[in-house]
Amino acid sequence: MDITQREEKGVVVFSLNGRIDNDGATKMEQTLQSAAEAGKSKMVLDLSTVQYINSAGLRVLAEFLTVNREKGGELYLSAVNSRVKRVFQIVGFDNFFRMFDSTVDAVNAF
Amino acid sequence: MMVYDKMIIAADFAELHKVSEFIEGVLDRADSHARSQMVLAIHELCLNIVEHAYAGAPGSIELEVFLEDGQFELQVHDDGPHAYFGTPEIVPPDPNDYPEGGWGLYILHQVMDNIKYRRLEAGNEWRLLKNLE
Repeated sequence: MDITQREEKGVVVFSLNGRIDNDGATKMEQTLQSAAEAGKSKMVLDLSTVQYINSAGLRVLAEFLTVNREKGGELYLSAVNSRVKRVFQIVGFDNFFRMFDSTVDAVNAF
Repeated sequence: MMVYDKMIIAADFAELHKVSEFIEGVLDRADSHARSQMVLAIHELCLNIVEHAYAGAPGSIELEVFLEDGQFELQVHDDGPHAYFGTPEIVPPDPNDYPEGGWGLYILHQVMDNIKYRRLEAGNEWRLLKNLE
């Protein structure tokens, strides 16, 4: 999985491209933690080109979001496609994560 | 017309992409959402087999698919020395509590219509059923 990151209005936007399987989840975790360690707390995950997420990916997102919230940070998801959204619904996480139709909307929500 | 297919892979994380490809291929005419959910669920089961049934021991996973009139059945066998659990307690994941394990099997139970599991003398057997219509 490829991850690129940029900053918009003080919000770090991560664009993920590929599958969030076990390897993808590990890479995502490392990337998010690096940003958190660099003092970033407002983050958006652009999932527009992610077609697959497994339980390892869900676990990384849940853990990171919880820890980040405890430190006053927030992580929003944007452009989540219907397949991935369905996985969030299956495990009952669709209300735990704030999801936005577009990355612009997510950035402006901070 | 009944479709039957079978695949045997090594019980190795690096081999599990073949499971996804196998299920994608068998279900190539199914609704894409149903297909992607089943690929995810079955992949999660195989992850569990590698991680818990074999727990580092070498071995293989055998998958047999029967597809007829929209009824999908998958039988999964392994020779893993460990059982998963005596009585599976399937509870929804709590996003505020993220222990190792359990989420994949929850997904499996949510996606499939019926799941039968039994511990064999040496190994484990799963039978998964899904109505695709």
